[in-house]
Amino acid sequence: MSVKVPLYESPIKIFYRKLPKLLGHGIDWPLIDIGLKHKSVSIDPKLLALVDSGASNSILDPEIAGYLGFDLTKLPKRSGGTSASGGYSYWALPDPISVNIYGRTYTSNFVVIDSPNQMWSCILGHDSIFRLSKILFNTPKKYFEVSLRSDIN
Amino acid sequence: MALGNLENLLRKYTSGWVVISKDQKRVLVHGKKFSDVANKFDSGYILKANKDFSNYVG
Repeated sequence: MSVKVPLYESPIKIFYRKLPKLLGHGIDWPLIDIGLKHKSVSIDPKLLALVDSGASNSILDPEIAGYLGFDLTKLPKRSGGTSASGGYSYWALPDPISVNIYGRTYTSNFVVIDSPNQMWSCILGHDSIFRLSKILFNTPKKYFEVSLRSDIN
Repeated sequence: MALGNLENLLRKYTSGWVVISKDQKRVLVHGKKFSDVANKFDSGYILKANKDFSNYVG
Protein backbone atom coordinates (compact mmCIF):
# COMPACT_ATOMS: atom_id res chain seq x y z
CA MET A 1 0.00 0.00 0.00
CA SER A 2 1.47 3.35 -0.98
CA VAL A 3 1.49 6.28 1.40
CA LYS A 4 -0.13 9.38 0.02
CA VAL A 5 2.06 12.44 0.50
CA PRO A 6 0.07 15.65 1.05
CA LEU A 7 0.38 18.09 -1.83
CA TYR A 8 0.97 21.00 0.53
CA GLU A 9 3.10 21.40 3.62
CA SER A 10 1.69 22.88 6.81
CA PRO A 11 0.79 26.56 6.40
CA ILE A 12 3.26 29.23 7.42
CA LYS A 13 1.49 32.13 9.05
CA ILE A 14 2.99 35.51 8.17
CA PHE A 15 1.68 38.76 9.57
CA TYR A 16 1.32 41.77 7.31
CA ARG A 17 3.88 44.51 7.80
CA LYS A 18 2.75 48.09 8.17
CA LEU A 19 4.79 50.51 6.06
CA PRO A 20 4.73 54.31 6.03
CA LYS A 21 2.14 56.37 4.28
CA LEU A 22 2.72 60.04 3.60
CA LEU A 23 -0.41 61.14 5.41
CA GLY A 24 -2.21 59.19 8.09
CA HIS A 25 -1.59 55.68 9.28
CA GLY A 26 0.55 53.21 7.39
CA ILE A 27 -0.55 50.46 5.06
CA ASP A 28 -0.45 46.74 5.84
CA TRP A 29 1.32 44.76 3.16
CA PRO A 30 1.73 41.00 2.61
CA LEU A 31 5.51 40.78 2.55
CA ILE A 32 7.56 37.60 2.70
CA ASP A 33 11.26 37.24 3.41
CA ILE A 34 13.10 35.42 0.66
CA GLY A 35 16.67 34.59 -0.28
CA LEU A 36 17.86 35.01 -3.86
CA LYS A 37 20.78 33.37 -5.62
CA HIS A 38 22.02 33.37 -9.18
CA LYS A 39 25.06 31.27 -10.04
CA SER A 40 27.62 32.10 -7.33
CA VAL A 41 26.01 35.34 -6.18
CA SER A 42 23.62 35.20 -3.27
CA ILE A 43 22.02 38.02 -1.36
CA ASP A 44 22.11 38.31 2.42
CA PRO A 45 20.17 39.11 4.44
CA LYS A 46 16.81 38.21 3.02
CA LEU A 47 14.66 40.54 0.97
CA LEU A 48 11.15 41.53 1.87
CA ALA A 49 9.14 40.74 -1.26
CA LEU A 50 5.55 41.66 -1.98
CA VAL A 51 3.20 38.73 -2.52
CA ASP A 52 1.02 40.12 -5.29
CA SER A 53 -1.96 38.09 -6.46
CA GLY A 54 -2.50 40.66 -9.23
CA ALA A 55 0.88 40.05 -10.83
CA SER A 56 1.21 37.43 -13.53
CA ASN A 57 4.98 37.82 -13.60
CA SER A 58 7.52 38.06 -10.81
CA ILE A 59 9.46 41.30 -10.85
CA LEU A 60 12.91 42.22 -9.65
CA ASP A 61 14.34 45.68 -9.15
CA PRO A 62 16.94 46.64 -11.80
CA GLU A 63 19.65 47.16 -9.16
CA ILE A 64 19.13 43.68 -7.73
CA ALA A 65 19.24 42.12 -11.19
CA GLY A 66 22.54 43.89 -11.79
CA TYR A 67 23.91 42.75 -8.44
CA LEU A 68 23.03 39.16 -9.34
CA GLY A 69 25.12 39.44 -12.48
CA PHE A 70 22.60 40.33 -15.17
CA ASP A 71 23.77 43.03 -17.57
CA LEU A 72 20.54 44.66 -18.66
CA THR A 73 22.32 46.67 -21.35
CA LYS A 74 23.04 43.40 -23.14
CA LEU A 75 19.51 42.05 -22.94
CA PRO A 76 16.73 42.90 -25.39
CA LYS A 77 14.18 45.27 -23.97
CA ARG A 78 10.65 44.14 -24.68
CA SER A 79 7.48 46.16 -24.90
CA GLY A 80 4.02 44.92 -24.17
CA GLY A 81 3.97 44.83 -20.40
CA THR A 82 0.66 45.96 -18.97
CA SER A 83 -0.11 47.39 -15.56
CA ALA A 84 -2.94 49.34 -14.00
CA SER A 85 -1.11 52.53 -14.93
CA GLY A 86 -0.56 51.55 -18.56
CA GLY A 87 2.11 49.85 -20.60
CA TYR A 88 5.72 49.31 -19.71
CA SER A 89 8.90 47.92 -21.20
CA TYR A 90 10.83 45.17 -19.50
CA TRP A 91 13.71 42.77 -19.68
CA ALA A 92 13.14 39.05 -19.20
CA LEU A 93 16.09 37.66 -17.26
CA PRO A 94 17.57 34.79 -19.29
CA ASP A 95 18.32 32.50 -16.35
CA PRO A 96 16.03 31.35 -13.58
CA ILE A 97 16.92 32.56 -10.09
CA SER A 98 16.99 30.40 -6.96
CA VAL A 99 14.43 31.59 -4.46
CA ASN A 100 14.63 30.42 -0.87
CA ILE A 101 11.32 30.53 0.93
CA TYR A 102 11.37 29.41 4.54
CA GLY A 103 14.10 26.86 3.98
CA ARG A 104 12.81 25.51 0.67
CA THR A 105 14.62 26.44 -2.52
CA TYR A 106 12.83 26.84 -5.82
CA THR A 107 13.76 28.35 -9.15
CA SER A 108 11.75 31.08 -10.75
CA ASN A 109 11.88 33.37 -13.74
CA PHE A 110 11.87 37.12 -13.21
CA VAL A 111 11.36 40.19 -15.32
CA VAL A 112 12.81 43.64 -14.71
CA ILE A 113 10.65 46.65 -15.45
CA ASP A 114 12.32 49.61 -17.11
CA SER A 115 11.52 52.14 -14.41
CA PRO A 116 13.97 53.52 -11.87
CA ASN A 117 11.42 54.45 -9.24
CA GLN A 118 9.75 51.24 -8.30
CA MET A 119 8.30 50.82 -4.86
CA TRP A 120 9.16 47.18 -4.31
CA SER A 121 12.50 45.45 -4.51
CA CYS A 122 10.82 42.22 -5.52
CA ILE A 123 7.29 41.18 -6.41
CA LEU A 124 6.28 37.55 -6.36
CA GLY A 125 3.44 36.79 -8.74
CA HIS A 126 1.65 33.88 -10.28
CA ASP A 127 4.71 32.46 -12.02
CA SER A 128 6.56 32.01 -8.72
CA ILE A 129 5.03 31.86 -5.28
CA PHE A 130 1.50 31.24 -6.50
CA ARG A 131 2.77 28.33 -8.57
CA LEU A 132 4.74 26.97 -5.66
CA SER A 133 2.20 27.27 -2.90
CA LYS A 134 -1.35 27.76 -1.82
CA ILE A 135 -1.89 31.18 -0.27
CA LEU A 136 -4.71 32.34 1.92
CA PHE A 137 -4.96 36.08 2.55
CA ASN A 138 -6.72 37.06 5.75
CA THR A 139 -6.58 40.82 5.51
CA PRO A 140 -9.12 41.52 8.28
CA LYS A 141 -6.84 39.60 10.65
CA LYS A 142 -3.71 41.09 9.02
CA TYR A 143 -1.95 37.86 8.12
CA PHE A 144 -1.59 35.46 5.25
CA GLU A 145 -0.76 31.78 5.15
CA VAL A 146 1.60 30.13 2.71
CA SER A 147 1.37 26.37 2.22
CA LEU A 148 4.31 25.31 0.09
CA ARG A 149 3.85 22.50 -2.37
CA SER A 150 5.68 19.34 -1.38
CA ASP A 151 5.99 17.97 -4.91
CA ILE A 152 8.28 20.66 -6.35
CA ASN A 153 12.05 20.63 -5.77
CA MET B 1 9.86 38.08 19.79
CA ALA B 2 8.09 41.40 20.07
CA LEU B 3 8.42 43.30 16.82
CA GLY B 4 9.09 47.01 16.58
CA ASN B 5 6.92 49.50 14.77
CA LEU B 6 8.16 49.36 11.20
CA GLU B 7 6.03 52.30 10.14
CA ASN B 8 7.71 54.61 12.64
CA LEU B 9 11.15 53.11 12.09
CA LEU B 10 11.11 53.72 8.35
CA ARG B 11 9.40 57.09 8.27
CA LYS B 12 12.63 59.07 8.01
CA TYR B 13 14.09 56.83 5.27
CA THR B 14 12.45 58.08 2.11
CA SER B 15 14.77 56.77 -0.60
CA GLY B 16 17.48 54.23 -1.21
CA TRP B 17 17.73 50.91 0.55
CA VAL B 18 17.66 49.79 4.16
CA VAL B 19 18.43 46.69 6.15
CA ILE B 20 16.22 46.37 9.20
CA SER B 21 16.88 44.10 12.14
CA LYS B 22 14.78 40.96 12.48
CA ASP B 23 12.92 42.42 15.42
CA GLN B 24 12.16 45.49 13.28
CA LYS B 25 13.51 47.80 15.95
CA ARG B 26 16.65 49.10 14.23
CA VAL B 27 17.83 50.15 10.80
CA LEU B 28 21.18 48.39 10.50
CA VAL B 29 22.32 50.18 7.38
CA HIS B 30 20.92 52.68 4.91
CA GLY B 31 22.42 53.27 1.50
CA LYS B 32 21.66 55.00 -1.74
CA LYS B 33 22.36 51.93 -3.85
CA PHE B 34 21.45 48.29 -3.40
CA SER B 35 25.11 47.35 -3.35
CA ASP B 36 25.56 49.67 -0.35
CA VAL B 37 23.40 47.39 1.80
CA ALA B 38 23.58 43.92 0.22
CA ASN B 39 25.67 41.33 2.04
CA LYS B 40 26.60 43.74 4.80
CA PHE B 41 24.67 41.73 7.42
CA ASP B 42 23.77 38.06 7.75
CA SER B 43 20.58 38.73 9.62
CA GLY B 44 17.73 41.15 9.05
CA TYR B 45 15.72 42.12 6.01
CA ILE B 46 16.46 44.26 2.98
CA LEU B 47 13.78 46.67 1.87
CA LYS B 48 13.55 49.60 -0.50
CA ALA B 49 12.87 52.86 1.29
CA ASN B 50 9.94 54.99 0.19
CA LYS B 51 8.29 58.00 1.71
CA ASP B 52 4.87 56.63 0.89
CA PHE B 53 3.86 53.01 0.46
CA SER B 54 0.25 53.80 -0.31
CA ASN B 55 -1.57 54.04 -3.63
CA TYR B 56 0.16 51.06 -5.19
CA VAL B 57 -1.90 49.14 -7.73
CA GLY B 58 -0.21 46.14 -9.25
